[in-house]
Amino acid sequence: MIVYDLSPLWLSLKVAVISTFFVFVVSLALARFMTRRDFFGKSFLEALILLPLVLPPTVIGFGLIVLFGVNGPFGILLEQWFGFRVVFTWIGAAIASFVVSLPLMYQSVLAAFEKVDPRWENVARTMGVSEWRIFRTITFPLAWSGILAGLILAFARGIGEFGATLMIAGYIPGVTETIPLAIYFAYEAGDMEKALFWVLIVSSLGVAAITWVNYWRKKTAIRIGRE
Amino acid sequence: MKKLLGLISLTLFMSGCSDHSANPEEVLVSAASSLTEVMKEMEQQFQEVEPNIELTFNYGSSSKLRSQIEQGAPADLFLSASEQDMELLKSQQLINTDSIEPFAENQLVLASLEEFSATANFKEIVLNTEKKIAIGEPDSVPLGAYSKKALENDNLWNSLSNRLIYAKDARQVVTYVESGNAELGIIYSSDAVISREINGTLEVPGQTKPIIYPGAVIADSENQPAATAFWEFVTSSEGQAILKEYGFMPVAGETP
Repeated sequence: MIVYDLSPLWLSLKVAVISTFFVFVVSLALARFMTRRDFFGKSFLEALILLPLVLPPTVIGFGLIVLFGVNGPFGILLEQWFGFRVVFTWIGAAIASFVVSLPLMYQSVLAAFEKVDPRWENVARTMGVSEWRIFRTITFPLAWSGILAGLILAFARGIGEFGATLMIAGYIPGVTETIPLAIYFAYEAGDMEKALFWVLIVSSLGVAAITWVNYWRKKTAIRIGRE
Repeated sequence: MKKLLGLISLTLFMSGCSDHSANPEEVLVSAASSLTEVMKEMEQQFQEVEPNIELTFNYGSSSKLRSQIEQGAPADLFLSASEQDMELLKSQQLINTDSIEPFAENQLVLASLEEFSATANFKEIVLNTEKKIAIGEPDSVPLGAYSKKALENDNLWNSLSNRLIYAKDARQVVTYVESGNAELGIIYSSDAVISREINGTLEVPGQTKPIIYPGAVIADSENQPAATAFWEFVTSSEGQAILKEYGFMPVAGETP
């Protein structure tokens, strides 16, 4: 078997790890906020967060290039403040992955937080424990299995992002060539073997991640049952 | 629930009415994406001559269209931006060999939003800058393959390779330049002619062979007469005049 340049694999992993980290922080903060507050326009805000789930990738890519392009508002700000460009860089790919995987993680975390019995938190509150410590020692551990499932989903989605990535990160071999882009252009060029090689790699990553989550969930469910 | 069912059956009924196979005068044209604009005009003018023939276009890079045809996707006429893709279809007997004919010529230009100075030199512009240059993906997009060849002929390919951005078809290169996300791009002169945003063009040296657009009727097309009618219109003097208006050049030394 021919061994291909593995740079798309490393790049996909880098993009997915970094975007998943930000998805983790943002979705935890958002979900915590949303489960505890009620305000005017909450449903609308929630719809905005979930929108990328139903939008075609081209629309997401279009939106990103309008916002982060060389002449877009965020694009101009980032270039002036930090001196870096988002279009045609791996950062663009990470932003695309972030936007498409945030709703997946957000939904899992929201469901996990809602399942946590508020009585535990209230008991701690009566004892004068700080809110941050309550979150760290009660809410987060109790919601952990849902959070982890969300993390794995977000990571897998981040690796698979294609449409928006192609629009904002472009296709530069070795620089912005993620696995999905490698597959698309190998197929377009008629290189079926190369396309198949990457399809197998990305599929095994996905299957491994989902299998692990299922296995892990069953194991913890049994453990919690025993306790 | 009843309302919903009614709506669904109504939709099904309506889509049944516009069933494509029921209309023998429908021609599906698979055309290179660089032909998008000119084909709109072509369609309008053709409609006046042949109001009974309905044209539908499927745009993409010529190699993608070619592989769609190889895989049995429906198409009646193939208008390609590359002779190589046409040759591949010919060797598989998927097109009517008699109908193959070049219908337009194009050339490569370096495009920018700003005008180039009158003394601008291609080599100096692309080398003395940090600017990104958008081109077509060289292995799968004909525009990219032509661009790579031209840059190689001038020994520029290796020194530019880390500043090149690959696009999935000719139109995407134009979009990258028009949006300002890539400062420079190598595009077809026809695309530069019709673009309102692109003001600077410079001929790309190193093009040794003209870029020829061949077309042909698909062998297993069920609408051969209608497809041939449109194909004859494209190659007629009327069709050629439209192509010229949109920045394409007539095929040199063509012997029909």
